[in-house]
Amino acid sequence: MKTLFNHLILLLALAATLLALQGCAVDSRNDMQSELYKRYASRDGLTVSQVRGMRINDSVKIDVLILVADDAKVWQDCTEEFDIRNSEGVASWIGAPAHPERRVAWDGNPCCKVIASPAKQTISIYTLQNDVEYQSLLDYQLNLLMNTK
Amino acid sequence: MKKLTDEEFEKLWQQETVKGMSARLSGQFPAWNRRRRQRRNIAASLMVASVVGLSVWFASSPDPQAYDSVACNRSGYSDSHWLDVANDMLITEV
Repeated sequence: MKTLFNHLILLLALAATLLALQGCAVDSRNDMQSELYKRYASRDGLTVSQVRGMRINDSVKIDVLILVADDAKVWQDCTEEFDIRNSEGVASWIGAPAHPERRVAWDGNPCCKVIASPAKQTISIYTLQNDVEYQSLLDYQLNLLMNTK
Repeated sequence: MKKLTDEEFEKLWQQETVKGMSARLSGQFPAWNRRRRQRRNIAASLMVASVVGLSVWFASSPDPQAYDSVACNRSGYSDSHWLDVANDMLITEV
């Protein structure tokens, strides 16, 4: 009987430890926020999310920043800042790593792939460090498309 | 019959290793034995519930291998929601 109670207490202690660790993980996430995330997260009317280390294949992980405008006015501000001229379809370009709104030519150096959807009022920014990550993202995108169809 | 406290009975029970003595003690002290069984059943139920709860909790968590961490300036969104958005945008582009 005592052994059973001891096991129960041990199990509850384990659960409490896991919850505490999860809390610590949430705290540490705040320290891992990128400069880009911090730049946009404080803006009114903009929902900002940062996915760190999104796995796109067995060996490559990339960071993704997602901006979602809460209303049409905020989206209008975004279109001006990111120079998005089309109001339909999707706009995409390669941007400078610290300034995704600036279009650059792909040269194998760190950059970011930016996709803007006026219909969803959403901009997603995929940070790429090198040619391997760039090619891996293209392959991942192709796989997503094939699995969707 | 000697009056024993629950603790004394438990101690006697734990010390009882001779084959057949446990059954004899159960017969001699039915009230203690009943309470002992009740406590054992409650403890076992709590343990099973804890294991099931932890299993459900882990199973409902997003695949920890799919990403390292997710941060958002608003509450109310799950990590998996943002992973879906990141994937949807890639599909939308094509």
